[in-house]
Amino acid sequence: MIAAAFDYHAPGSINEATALLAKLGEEAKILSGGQSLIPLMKLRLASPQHLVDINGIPGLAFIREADGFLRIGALTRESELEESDLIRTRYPLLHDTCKVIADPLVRNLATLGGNLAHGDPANDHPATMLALGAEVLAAGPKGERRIPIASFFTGPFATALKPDEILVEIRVPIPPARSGGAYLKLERKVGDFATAAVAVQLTLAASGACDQVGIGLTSVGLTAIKATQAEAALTGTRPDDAAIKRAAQLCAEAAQPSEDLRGSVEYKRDMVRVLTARALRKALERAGEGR
Amino acid sequence: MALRTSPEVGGMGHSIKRKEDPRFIRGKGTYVDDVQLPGMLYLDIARSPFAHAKITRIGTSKALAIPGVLAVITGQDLAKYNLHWMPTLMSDTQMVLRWRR
Amino acid sequence: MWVKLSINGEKHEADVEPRLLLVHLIRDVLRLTGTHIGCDTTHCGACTVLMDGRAVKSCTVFAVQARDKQIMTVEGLEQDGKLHPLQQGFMAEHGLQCGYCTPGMLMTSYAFLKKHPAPNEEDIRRAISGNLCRCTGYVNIVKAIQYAAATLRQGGS
Repeated sequence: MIAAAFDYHAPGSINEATALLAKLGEEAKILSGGQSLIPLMKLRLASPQHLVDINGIPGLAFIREADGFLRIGALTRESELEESDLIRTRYPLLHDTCKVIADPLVRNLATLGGNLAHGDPANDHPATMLALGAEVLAAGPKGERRIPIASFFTGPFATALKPDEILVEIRVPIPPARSGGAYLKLERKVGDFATAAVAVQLTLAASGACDQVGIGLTSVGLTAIKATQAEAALTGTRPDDAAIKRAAQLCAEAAQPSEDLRGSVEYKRDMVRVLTARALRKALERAGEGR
Repeated sequence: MALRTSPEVGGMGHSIKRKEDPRFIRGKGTYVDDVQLPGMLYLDIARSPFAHAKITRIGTSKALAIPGVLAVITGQDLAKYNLHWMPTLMSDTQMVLRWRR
Repeated sequence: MWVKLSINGEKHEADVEPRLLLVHLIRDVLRLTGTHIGCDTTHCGACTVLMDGRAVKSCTVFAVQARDKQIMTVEGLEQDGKLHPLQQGFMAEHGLQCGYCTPGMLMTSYAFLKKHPAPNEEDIRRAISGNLCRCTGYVNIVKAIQYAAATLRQGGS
């Protein structure tokens, strides 16, 4: 399939890019990894008149811890995240997530920023970032602003980014000691979107109770869902079997799946329940290991 | 099964290497999409979005207006050449392109 | 738009529409038909090439994105008339039947073995999970890659 014709722009700096976006308005789309956008363009589900390719902008790909945050540049490729020792050892939830996004070839080009900015409720990073309590940095013609992840996803394929803004950085608060996380994704085959997926991040307090619980759900709503009731039920509670079961049930109730080729509403809800329990157990195990 | 011939003679029972691999692993195969002949045209088939329906009209003007489109062929065009019914391998006769339903 | 790039070590340039896909530049403009189009929906990986050493699906990259980059296709694997151990491996281990997915498998595993010279079977299966094969059931493809990995480790080429 052939995409509709478009004008191609390749700015060399963030300022140049945001100025271009401001000038071109709603008919411009940002080209980052292109692994979501280009397939849509080939099907003519998206036909932007202008593409602003940001891959030539330096300084947007990095992974480092600084000032209490894990800071990741928006142009960082999923494969770079997957291969990062820092992420693998200290952010197992994020590492789990990268490994199940599409396939290794797509991950060589797909970017973290694109995965979030595309706003597809079936993308994996939104739920993970919700669980991690992240914030994103958006650069516009007037400067930068921080957007908490809980307000970032406004609807299917819609985010809080303005048309003249570029996502430049993602920041995750560095978790305290005795924290753990896990991402479990049910998919029909490797590379598929999730039938349902659950992201869990938590900390174990000295008392053995859960502290700072974050739970995100993928592909079971119009956007990724932050399971606030389940989070609240677990916070300050010892995570015994009953507590895990209750949290899993609350997550199933928080899910708003649609029926499609991947399953019925009942099936997907039940999968959320099962995946939540398993992800919680895995996160607790990792937290107990001191990771 | 005991081999009746030596490896040099070969034949039944012996392993042999495929003949097509050397060009395939070099990317030198000629698959249908690789064929390029001067003046060649490309054909695409427009399929019905419905399993059963009555065809009221086949609109060809939009397609014909696109530069590079040389022809839009319907069952009625084939009828002019008496090609609208064809024998099949199952020994029956089928319409090549539907134009009524 | 003018695009200058290097393919298998040779410089090429072409005037292309921005919407021209890299796979079409390679196949239709430059007439290197070893790279195949299997699904056109970013699933099958038959279009896999290396772009600056990274394996990518060339049906999901615009040709203009490849300007000033080094592209390697299956035609670039053979050097001075000598087959790469991967190519030898696919023949020795019957790693292909129809051969349509094979160039993609070769390019993906070429990049993979450069980074992971001693992979186990699970590593290999994960590495090729973006390349679909309808003929072989993957078993002999894995064997072919193991053959190549062993040859390369022994200093073979």
